Amino acid sequence: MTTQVQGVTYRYTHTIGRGEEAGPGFKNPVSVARGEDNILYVVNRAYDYRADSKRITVCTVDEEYVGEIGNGGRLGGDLMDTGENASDGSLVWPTDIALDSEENLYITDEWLNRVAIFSKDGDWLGSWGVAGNGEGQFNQPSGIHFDADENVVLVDTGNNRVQKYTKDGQYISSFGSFGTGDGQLNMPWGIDIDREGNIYIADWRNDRIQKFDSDGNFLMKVGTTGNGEGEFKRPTSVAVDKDGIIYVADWDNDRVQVLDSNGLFISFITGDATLSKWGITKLDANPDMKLQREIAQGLERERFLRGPIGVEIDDDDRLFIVDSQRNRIQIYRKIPPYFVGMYDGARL
Amino acid sequence: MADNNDIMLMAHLMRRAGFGASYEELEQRAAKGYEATVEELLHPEDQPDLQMDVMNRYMHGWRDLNGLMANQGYWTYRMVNSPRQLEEKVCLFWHGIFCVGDSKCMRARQILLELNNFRSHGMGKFDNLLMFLSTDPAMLYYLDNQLSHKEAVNENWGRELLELFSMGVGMDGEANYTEDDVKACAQAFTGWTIANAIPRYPYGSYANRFLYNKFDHIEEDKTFLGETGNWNGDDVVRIICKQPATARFVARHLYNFFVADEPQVPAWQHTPPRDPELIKALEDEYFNSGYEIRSMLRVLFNSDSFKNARFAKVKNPSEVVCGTLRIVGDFETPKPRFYDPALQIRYMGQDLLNPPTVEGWHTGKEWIDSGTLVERVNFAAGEMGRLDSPGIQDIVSRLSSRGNVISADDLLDGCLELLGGYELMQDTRDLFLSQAVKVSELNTSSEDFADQVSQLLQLIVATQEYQFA
Repeated sequence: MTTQVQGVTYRYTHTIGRGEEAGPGFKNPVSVARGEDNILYVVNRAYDYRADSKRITVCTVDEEYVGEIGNGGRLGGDLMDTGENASDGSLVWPTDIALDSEENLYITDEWLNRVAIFSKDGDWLGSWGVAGNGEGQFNQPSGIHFDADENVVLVDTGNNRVQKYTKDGQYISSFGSFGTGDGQLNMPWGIDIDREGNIYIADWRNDRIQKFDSDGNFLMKVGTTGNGEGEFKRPTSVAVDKDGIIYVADWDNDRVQVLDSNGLFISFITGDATLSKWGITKLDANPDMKLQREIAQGLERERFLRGPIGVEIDDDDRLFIVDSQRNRIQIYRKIPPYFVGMYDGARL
Repeated sequence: MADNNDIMLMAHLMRRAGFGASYEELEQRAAKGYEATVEELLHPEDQPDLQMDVMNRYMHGWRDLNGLMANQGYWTYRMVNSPRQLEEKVCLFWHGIFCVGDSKCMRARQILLELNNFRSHGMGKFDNLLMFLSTDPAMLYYLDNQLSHKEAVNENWGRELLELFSMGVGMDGEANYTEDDVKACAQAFTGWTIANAIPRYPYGSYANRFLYNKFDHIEEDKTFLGETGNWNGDDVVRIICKQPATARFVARHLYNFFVADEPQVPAWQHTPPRDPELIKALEDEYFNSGYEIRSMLRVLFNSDSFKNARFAKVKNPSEVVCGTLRIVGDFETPKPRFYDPALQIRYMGQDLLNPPTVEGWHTGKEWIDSGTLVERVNFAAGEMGRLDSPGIQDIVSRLSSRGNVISADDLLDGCLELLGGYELMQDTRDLFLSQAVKVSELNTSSEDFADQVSQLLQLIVATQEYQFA
């Protein structure tokens, strides 16, 4: 007798983060990247009238605070640097992050039309990017990812295309145009690249995910507008794991969708958040708040995702969901449906 | 085909039933006709609502609208860009009467939910509106009804419901209710409370909800406005809505906001309406329509009193800012300083979602002082100096199309007309022509023609005449 494998499942492990304008916490986080030693780099978009909250929070998967990188202004909103010659290290509309092999941070800025580069220690390494719609120019860059050759592949949202550059900003190629047909895009946003070099794009305003080969040839599209299985409402981010399973931040449906490598629906994740370490610290320091929370009605709502905007899965099969409106990241572990046997020599 | 008089009348209607309009929009609406435009405005549900996905994509605080500043920016955007102009104006109207302030609530999203009710139901039946208000968590918290218990009645909500939200203290020299009515009203609303809220930290606010606690309600006969029974809150609303004083109160508020400045509300008991005939017509419509605000507004906008009341009102700050931005036409695409206009409204004295007291903002000339006037002039003049904006370019283009040469008089008249039909005092006209334009004729194809138009527009919006709607 054989047993049919039913597919993967996902076990919620924990939540990290809390709403904070500075220090341990996030403010409207939009994306996350995982570095070595369980380090996470979390991009905080924050609000434009609190530009001092725009930053990269560096912490661990276990929620140990490491520090901050970048800034959105010197003393707050009124001094926010929105000019073309923005000062070193400033972030206006930071959107996505990718790490190179040395764990330098490459961050797209949709307003400044540049890719900002920091070392993992927070040193400013420079930026590149030219605003426009010509070859080698971009308009509101959003999703960013490194390919196997360590070239930068970024989503050129305003020009409805995907562009490839060397890591120092030399233009290589592009593909995509505005429209709803196969291979066409409408305000695309998130990006991921699988182990075969195929490129996945969150085709935001077309409510679908598109898959291209490494040369930009159209391979597959998944999704239509709606809130059912395999339907999306403004998907913002896409991630692909080592088994080819696709994760989509279904932003305006307040959920993450999990699809198999052919784009067939597997499951929804709507959120299971529990108190984070930083959340507990906050409550311990504010007894009134703690008491209010203990008697609050409808607290069960707190577990749900609200505006999930980024998804990332690491090689350890940990899924990071950037729960933007709740200033936190919900973390899940992928549970394979088959025997893996990592424990103690793979015994039964 | 609409003539200039039709267009100027339309400009008046759109300043009052909306936040002004570009000349192009005025032409289109005038061609459709006055009464047809009134009906369109009265039925916002027939117009498409704003698509917010792109704005929410870039203005990340707008997705959930938890903070005060995000809400103020969002509402400013709606007032400027919504095709449902009267819906936003009615929302502002009720916000100025049914006041709830963020300074106490500290939960702007909850106030947003109240404002959304004003959008959806603000032109509906007044009794329904009062019921929404009576079960609105932001209002109940703002006026302490969660602290009102059958063993210790808090009269704040009950008193303000009568004094500020429905009847007013008196009319025609008489009091509308007694202190005993206040007590009975407050007793009837015992048990009308809210759930315990989730604190805003560590993960942000959640909408609160209304609760009725029958164990904390006073179950006994109460005499309210001459009627005795075991009244609950909904009975009180029903009794309030059938009072002539309520019809008068709603009519005077509508008149004060949409037609012409009245004395401040506390003076209404002893100060007769400025236009008794229109107030009477509105009172009659209140009862004939079953308390429907939409029907009252229809009577109001189609009345001669309204049509003849041009520039009889001092603009409130939202009207100054949003009206100017609707002419300039460059407040649609998100950018980092998108919240600036909302701050301007605040600086001019109207901190949206955060009125100074439960009494709301005093209106009319009380909007103006030396500080707020400077804010008004600086803002409007700054916007008129934006030659790259589509609205200013359109005005320049329209004036250029009137011939290769235009007289200074015609240029000034043209600018006044294209801004919506403003009329200047003769002294001001003479000053502008002698000191600003200086020449008797201008070449419309000259390089500096656009600058000259822009400078004239800046002068016009700096006048006292521009402060009136």
